[in-house]
Amino acid sequence: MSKRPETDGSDHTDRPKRGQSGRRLLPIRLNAGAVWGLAAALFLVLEIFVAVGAPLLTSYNPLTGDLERRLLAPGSVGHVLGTDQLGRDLLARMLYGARISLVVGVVAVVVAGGVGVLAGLFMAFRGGWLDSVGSRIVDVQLSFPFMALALSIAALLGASLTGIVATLAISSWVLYARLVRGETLMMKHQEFVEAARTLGAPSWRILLRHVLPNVLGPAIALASLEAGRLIVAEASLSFLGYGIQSPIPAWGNMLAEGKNYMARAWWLTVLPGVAISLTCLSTTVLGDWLTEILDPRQR
Amino acid sequence: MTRSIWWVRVGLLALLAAIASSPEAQAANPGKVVVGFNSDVRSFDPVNTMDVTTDRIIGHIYQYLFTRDHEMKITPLLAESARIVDDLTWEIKLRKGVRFSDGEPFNADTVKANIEYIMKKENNSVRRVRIDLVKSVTVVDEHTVRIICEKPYPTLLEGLAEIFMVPARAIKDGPKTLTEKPVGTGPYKLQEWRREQSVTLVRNDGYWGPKPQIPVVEFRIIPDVSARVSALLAGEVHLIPDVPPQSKDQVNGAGIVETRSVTGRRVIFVGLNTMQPGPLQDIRVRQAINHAVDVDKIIRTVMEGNARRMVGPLPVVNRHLDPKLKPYPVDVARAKALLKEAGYNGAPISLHTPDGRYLKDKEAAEAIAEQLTQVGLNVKVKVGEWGTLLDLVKSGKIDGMYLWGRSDTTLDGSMLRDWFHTGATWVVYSDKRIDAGIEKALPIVNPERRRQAFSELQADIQQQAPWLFLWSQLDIYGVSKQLQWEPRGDEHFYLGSAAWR
Amino acid sequence: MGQYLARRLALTLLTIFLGLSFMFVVLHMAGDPVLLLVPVDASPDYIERMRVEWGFADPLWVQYGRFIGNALLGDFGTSLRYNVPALTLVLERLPATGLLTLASMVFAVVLGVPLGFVAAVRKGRIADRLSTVGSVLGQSIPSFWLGLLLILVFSVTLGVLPTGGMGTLKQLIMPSVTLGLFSLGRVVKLTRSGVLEVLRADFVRTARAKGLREWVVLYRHVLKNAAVPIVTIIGLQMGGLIGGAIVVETIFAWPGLGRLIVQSIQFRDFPTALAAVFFTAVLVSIINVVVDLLYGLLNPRIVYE
Repeated sequence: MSKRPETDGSDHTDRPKRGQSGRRLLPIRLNAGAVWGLAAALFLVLEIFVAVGAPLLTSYNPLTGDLERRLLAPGSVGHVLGTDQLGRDLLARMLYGARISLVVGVVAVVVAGGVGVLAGLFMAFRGGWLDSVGSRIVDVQLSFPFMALALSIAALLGASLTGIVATLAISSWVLYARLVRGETLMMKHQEFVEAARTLGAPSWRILLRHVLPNVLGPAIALASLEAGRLIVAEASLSFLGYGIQSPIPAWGNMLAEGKNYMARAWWLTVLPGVAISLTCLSTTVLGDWLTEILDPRQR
Repeated sequence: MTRSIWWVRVGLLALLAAIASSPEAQAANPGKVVVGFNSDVRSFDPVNTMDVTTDRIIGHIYQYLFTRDHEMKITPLLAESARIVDDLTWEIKLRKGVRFSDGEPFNADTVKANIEYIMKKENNSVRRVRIDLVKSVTVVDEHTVRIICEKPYPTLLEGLAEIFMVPARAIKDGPKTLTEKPVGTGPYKLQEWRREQSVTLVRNDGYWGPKPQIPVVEFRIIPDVSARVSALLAGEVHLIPDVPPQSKDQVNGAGIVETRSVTGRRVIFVGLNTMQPGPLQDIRVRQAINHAVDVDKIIRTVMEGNARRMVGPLPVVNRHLDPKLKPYPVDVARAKALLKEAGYNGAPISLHTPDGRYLKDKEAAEAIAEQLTQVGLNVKVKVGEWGTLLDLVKSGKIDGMYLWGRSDTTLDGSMLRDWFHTGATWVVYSDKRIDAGIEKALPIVNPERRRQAFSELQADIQQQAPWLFLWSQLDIYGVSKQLQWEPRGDEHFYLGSAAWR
Repeated sequence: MGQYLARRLALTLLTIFLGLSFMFVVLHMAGDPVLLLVPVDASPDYIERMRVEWGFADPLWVQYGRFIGNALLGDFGTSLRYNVPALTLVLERLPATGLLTLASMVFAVVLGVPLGFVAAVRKGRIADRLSTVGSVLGQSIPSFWLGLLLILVFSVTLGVLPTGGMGTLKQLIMPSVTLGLFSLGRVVKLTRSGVLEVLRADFVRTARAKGLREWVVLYRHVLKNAAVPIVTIIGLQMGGLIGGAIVVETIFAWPGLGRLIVQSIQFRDFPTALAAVFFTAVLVSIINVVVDLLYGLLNPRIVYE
């Protein structure tokens, strides 16, 4: 398969410097990219803290509301961020929603990444018909409209948390597979790998100790980019009716539900919408920076 | 200057010019009414399609023998009058001088051809269910027919109000020929159908009735409800049939449009499945549920007042509604007592609901679940995909409760059969005594005795609490202030009688 | 080369059919399809007859065999919902999706290439960061929200653009911008890296050393060579756009394949759903193969300008 430029915006320059076991030294330069990258990472860590600490930050139950106090604007008495269409406190829903949205992003990415990385490794290392068939599966799944796949799976599994995570994971593992396959192929003919082979090391040991650590870098960078994309995708699935179902709060379904109140209660869309956008922005900026420092094609 | 930049500049200029000069589609057709609609016609063949969305559009092209007036009373349309000859026979006199848009005359032969085709089981017409007690049709003279029924059929006319008349020629060639080329007796003809985009109707100059004031009607498909409201506010469409309650103020404040509401014939309820083992099989639990939920409050808050409470098994628009029937009073103490008496042990009960199928369905379900939890019921809301829900309800396998909607098609007590008789489609309730009562009441022709029978039945069914009775939806239409038109309770538009101020 | 192509296309087709089979089975397991296709008030009698007429009464493997057999011959059956051939529906919608995808791509390129160029040339400075971060914002905002916001601002408040539909150029603007913003980030990043790579190359330094004016160097050599990765990214994005257009099509009432896919899945209109997905997958696969070939062909030229 001919090599295309990977769509990650990395600068293609010199070969990385390598240590004895073939591990790269991480060239973390404190440039503008680093500043933004670290800022993004900090923002995300903050989000995680807030999400975990939700019960400490609010005493409201995000699942129940007072019908008499519907659609209160932010700044209303007792409700800093206002209430939603069923009288539920919005701050509580945003905080607990952070948990769900972040979990969805992280778990889906970990599962997809895990499966994809392993698949990519095997395909590249074994080669032969496994690689041919595997590559075609990857290609085809990439050309299959994501939504068709997601909707079919969602129709079957139902719109549960596990269902959504499974749907998102299944539709994105191929990206890791393709990336890792490409990286592994390049490594296959590196000197240190050949050296290890001649010394009689078994394939799996080579894979694990030499190849894996080096492909993990770009895979992690991709994972960061993907996490953001999947959190946005959760919103789109909710819009189509296949997202995480109420009353469980997640930013995506809150945004989708709120769209019918845009004129009457802007906070129902703006709050989760901004949260989603900033989160995705952060993961992408972080991912870009990670790509800069972890991609073996980098300086 | 390098060529690449030059091309970019030329391109941008061309783009701007094209944008500035694109024609305003509306100017070409003064007097045209544009309706913002949520989905497309499925087919212009009314014999094999039975779809509210489709009917609302093709109701301008085709017509029924009988229709409903603004008070939803049956009134003749293509017919002139009807009378009962004997227990099993109706005689209908047809309107004279009616022609289809292709010139074919409408007469007794047309009616006979239409009805007999539909009644033949092999033809598998979906409309058959509306007139299922009809046996045969005899032509008495060119403008008179007699309809023979299997059993006494007091609601025949209501059924005929759902059967569009198509040319006899189309029956002969097969109604599927009408799928894209409709031919009807109505005030409009099909001008253009751009699938999933728009249906454009043009005035039928050969129409037998009063000439429509609106020369062209376009139904524009806009799937997203927020986008539809936006189109209305922007003046791109003149009418939308489903303004969400929370957007009412926005529409009324916009200056060029306003909302007009009517009580629709859609009833919303929570069905309680008694066919699966569980706490719902105990009547006390079901009654507790009815006592626990403050329906008026939900109407006031979630529905923002846009619904009319259903106190019993028949809605306010049904002519056989017993005005003396009282709703279940909100009584949390009584609900708790009933649950204790029934020995409810905290077993989880699901409340299934679709999302977006009915107005505020999910929201209402969530509010209901919360109120039920407060009396001690362990209720979990489960939002389901429409397809899966249909399956579960139809097969009776749905566990627990489910928010659902039905349409009151006959506006007559006979709906009790569709909604509560054992074995009827979508019914997950069975009570032999109620069945017997329904079967006894159905064939009664005498209006007073009919009313009496249905009144008793209603009280009975209410007491058995097979449903958590909720409400009739209010249909909120967003209309241009310049358009003289009133919404109807049967969801038909009938823009043939609309006019610009 | 021909043999490689043939084998690759054959394998691709096979895999697409596998994908369709997966969808076929999954959708059948997710509820009774007949119930979704008949009116709610239909009699049980009618439901059972339609079940037989539509072939749903046969055992699953028979239905599957029938579907595959016909599909291989190009017959995807008749839409269960609209009563016209499924293929007709798909082909009707194809131009609409094509137009939207194309317009979105044009927007992304017209805005993204200059931005990426600026970012590369002013690497490390404010302009660089703003361009890259700003363009990423476009793909971080959920598209349905963005679409509705645009409608609120430009249609309802300002009244300068129509809320949706297809037909005039004005109606194309908001949907293609909304969809195009998704690709913008990638286009900017790739242009930036492509331009950076070229800027470092020897022949540029040579040209500079020769004393050619800065902008001549930039425009002539750099842009032309950076064009290659840009072309490939365009190809890759097309595939994603076709799939990602569903939300945009729904909001803006754009009659494309995306909406057809969603509706036919929701209503279990099997022939249409499978035909639409098949076409999309084949189309995108072809684009991918073409892009791969294109890249292989164009690649050598970069170094030896």
